[in-house]
Amino acid sequence: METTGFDIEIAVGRPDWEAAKRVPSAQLPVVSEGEKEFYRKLFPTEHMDFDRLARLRVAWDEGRKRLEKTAESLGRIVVEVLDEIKADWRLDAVVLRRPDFWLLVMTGAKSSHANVEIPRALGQDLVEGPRSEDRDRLKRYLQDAGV
Amino acid sequence: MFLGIGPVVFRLSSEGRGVFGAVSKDDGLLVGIVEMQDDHGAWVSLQDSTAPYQLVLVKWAHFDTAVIDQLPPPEPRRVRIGFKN
Repeated sequence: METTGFDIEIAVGRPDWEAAKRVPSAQLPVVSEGEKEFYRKLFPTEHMDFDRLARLRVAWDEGRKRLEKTAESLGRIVVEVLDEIKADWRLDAVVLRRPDFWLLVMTGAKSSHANVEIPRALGQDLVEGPRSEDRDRLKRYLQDAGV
Repeated sequence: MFLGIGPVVFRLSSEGRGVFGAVSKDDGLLVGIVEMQDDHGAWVSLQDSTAPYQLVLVKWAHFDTAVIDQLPPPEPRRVRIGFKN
């Protein structure tokens, strides 16, 4: 049995406000009394709406989950493309660290390494509905990086 | 200055209230998520925005203080693929 895989690292934010809006107030994560006290001391206002804070955290969490799914889907497509072009390289990690470019960390024969940056828009296009021209663009990015 | 990224609540300065008065709900607070930052300030996705993919620049002079959730980054997740039985 062959087991292989790749890592996913997310270090950017992309909130999912729509998901946060859908959560009923009663199901929002609890803001602890300690946190509330801290905010009350720091922000001298009686208008601090802790539901807003809880919803903010939901948007962050849901956005992160969505990015993880996106990175996983992208990684699977990259593995497929590597197989298609018969490249003797493997995908080690999909790293979402910058908002505009995503990074593919690759290892080749003789332990050579390549970091391939692709525009976020291309990554999104590949995941949302991979067209042959998107795959061709990905192949060009890989080949330009020596893969 | 480096805020990190994540959920943030800004307490606006008087200058910031002038800029963001229309979206701060009169409480002097601005709520959003810091997505990136540079020499000018923090680029923030605002909670009440109807255009979720637009970021707003909150200059350093626009706020007196801020609280940001600094959660430790999650461990890289490993995706297993290519199982063959």
